Amino acid sequence: MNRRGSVLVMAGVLVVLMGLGIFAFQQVMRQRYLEAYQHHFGEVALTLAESGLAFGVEHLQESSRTPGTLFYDLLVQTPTADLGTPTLAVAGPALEGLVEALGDEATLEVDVILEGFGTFEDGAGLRGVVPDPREKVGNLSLVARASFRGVERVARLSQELRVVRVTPPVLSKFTLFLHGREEEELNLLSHDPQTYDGIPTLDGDPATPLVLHHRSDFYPAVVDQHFHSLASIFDPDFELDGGGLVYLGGEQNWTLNLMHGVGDGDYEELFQLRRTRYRWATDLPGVTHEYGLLFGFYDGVLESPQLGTAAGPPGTMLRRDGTPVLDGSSAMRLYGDVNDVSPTLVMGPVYRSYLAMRLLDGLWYPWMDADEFAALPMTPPAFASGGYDAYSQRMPRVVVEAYNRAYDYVSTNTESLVEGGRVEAEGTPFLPASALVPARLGRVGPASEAADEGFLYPVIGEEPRGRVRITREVQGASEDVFAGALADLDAPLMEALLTRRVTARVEDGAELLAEYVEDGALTLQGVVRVERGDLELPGVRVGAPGMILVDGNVVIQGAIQPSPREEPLTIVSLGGDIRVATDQPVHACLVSLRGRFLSQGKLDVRGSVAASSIDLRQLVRGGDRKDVRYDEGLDPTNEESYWKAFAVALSPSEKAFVSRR
Amino acid sequence: MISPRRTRRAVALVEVLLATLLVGMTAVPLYDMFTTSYRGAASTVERTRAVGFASELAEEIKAVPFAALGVTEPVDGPGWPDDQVADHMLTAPGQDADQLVDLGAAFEPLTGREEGYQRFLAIRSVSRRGDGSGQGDVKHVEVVVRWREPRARLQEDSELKLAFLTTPRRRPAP
Repeated sequence: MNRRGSVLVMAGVLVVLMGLGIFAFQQVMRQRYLEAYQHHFGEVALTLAESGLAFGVEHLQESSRTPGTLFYDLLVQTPTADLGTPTLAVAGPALEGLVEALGDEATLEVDVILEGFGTFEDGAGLRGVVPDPREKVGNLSLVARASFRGVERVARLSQELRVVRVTPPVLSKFTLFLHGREEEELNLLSHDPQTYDGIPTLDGDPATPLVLHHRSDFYPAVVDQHFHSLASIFDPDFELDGGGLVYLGGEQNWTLNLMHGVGDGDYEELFQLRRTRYRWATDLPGVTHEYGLLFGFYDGVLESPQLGTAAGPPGTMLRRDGTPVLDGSSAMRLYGDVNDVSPTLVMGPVYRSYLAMRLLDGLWYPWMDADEFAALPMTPPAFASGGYDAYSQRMPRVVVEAYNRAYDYVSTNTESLVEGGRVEAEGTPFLPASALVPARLGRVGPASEAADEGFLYPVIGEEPRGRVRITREVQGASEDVFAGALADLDAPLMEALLTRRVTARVEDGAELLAEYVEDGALTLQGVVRVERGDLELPGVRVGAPGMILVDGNVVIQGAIQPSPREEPLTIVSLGGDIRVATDQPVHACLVSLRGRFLSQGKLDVRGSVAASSIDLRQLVRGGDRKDVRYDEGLDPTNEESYWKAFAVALSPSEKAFVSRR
Repeated sequence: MISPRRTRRAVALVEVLLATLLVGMTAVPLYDMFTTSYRGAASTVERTRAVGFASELAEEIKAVPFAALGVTEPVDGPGWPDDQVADHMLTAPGQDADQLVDLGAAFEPLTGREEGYQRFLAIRSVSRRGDGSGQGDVKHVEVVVRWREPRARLQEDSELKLAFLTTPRRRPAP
């Protein structure tokens, strides 16, 4: 057998096999090597894309709170009907810096797509509440495309986006909005007739009234002891409805006794009465001077022998209808107080009550009925001819008139003596029926065509009932806020409107505090519903616009400090009471749809209060001040405040997708 | 005259020499290819492991409360992690926040195979809008992992970098 060349052949075969094996090994290793780099580059690109998404969300949330940015203009300022389906690029130095850190081979593009946006309701069945044209709900998609050294990654994020107002519709225009009251008696406060100042009392214990303040732009430049100069600085362009309003509703009339005083006590209300004497040319025989004066109520005025009945010991004076006059003054001061006069528009069946007094040649004549007059041992000479008819027009009596007449008195308190005061008809006050200063209403209407639409609007001096229209000026155009009856804003309607706008939910109050309070700042950025239980809110600072809806009771235990950006906070109890259990300032809009507003001791609310009722007997107890100051930042008719109540919220649930393309 | 037997022996010898030469000539480059591939495989393992370390570190950083990143003083509070990584999210006092901070002992090797890796971290606060008004409302984070590959020809380190942005934590989905 010839074996020549076999070694060479074997060597050749061996070389080929080795080569093939090593070649195959090399290919596999090369593949693994490339995959490792692909994995490395892919990880860098993925991290870049995820950063783009995170930045996009943060940028969107911050820009949506910043007027002048593109996102703010689109999401907040653009009416829902005009929004369309825009796509916007997200850019910023932070993204550029990220790409730069990775070198020239890195790229990143982030886009935002808004689609499917609509309103929360179509306006039907809202009983006059006009849906805001800029509230909206729809879908937000973020797409981040990143590449690093040729390896691409795309990350997508899809979330529901809601643009909501965090102030309750219509209610936030009111300093105090009550559907009714629990306490039958309103005029709970007694006063020492010997000293007009000092702390009033209730059942012998110190008590002070609830004082409402509606605006910050009404400052009497010169305030003398008798407010004679109040109207001298009065601005005829003053809009009575420019600040917070008052609505006191229900079936019962709210008749508030004005409080007497001479300007020294904190709670006197003589600035709402004509602090001057009216003088008539009298036709009474033997009478030289006939004067009229207006007084408020307090204990003792009615005890004066000069004002008691002539037929018996000094006692309770009777009203014209024979019912006893209620002593004391009202548990509320609707127009501020003597140190902070704050007129506003009062709506609902609200009346003010005071004493109209007469002097004939310096003599008071007491109240008496016809029988008592007839039983006088001697008819006063002045009434010898006129008899009881002439007497009844000059004896003291209680005047009850629409509370808005107070505005007339505040604006016309100038003269020290009014000559020629007319002899008015029974029950009408000294001031002429038409206001001396035109009542200018800017935002509460309706327009002149009101009569055709069946509106009665609460102008000064008229019956304070009926339907109203509230408007605002936004972006140069007039928009309706409300056109209906305030009594129709009941709990079921308000609850439906508010719960429809919920942007996040928590189980209970503890979870709310854990999730939304950080470093003392309450950062809601939307409407958060507490699903069950009560809420006990400690002292916090408002960090973002927000509304809390609580099924149960709400207890505010500490100060609520305002947002540096003046963004509002609303706290709503859907079924329980709201109690302010702190004497610290509370900057919030407080709403109890079905319950009561409660407080005890010092009260300092700087926002607004709306409730089904109020427990006045409990609230007035204690000698501290109780103030509710309207926060003009809640005013839905003021354009600057209007924009600050918007919150843009992304739903917690999200859908995220990552792909290689 | 040469005998046929001697001729056969000479041819056989030549064959062996040629075969040896052939094997030798191919073995060297084949060996070189083999070692290169093997080194590449080792590099693959190292790089994959480095990517894993960097990703793990990035995820840990993302879980740290936003306010605790890149500050010069230790921070503490409920819910903030107290492990070594969190402690080392700080820049050293007085140090430029852009400088890479060696995490050093923050990452104790869990296994012997983690030896030889160094992990660095840089955190800087940047304004979202770049106009200086944001006061650091996003944070730019760079994670760098360095290692020296085994059997590396050149005595120099390999490095990979992950750069990302972190923002104030959003509410988790219920």
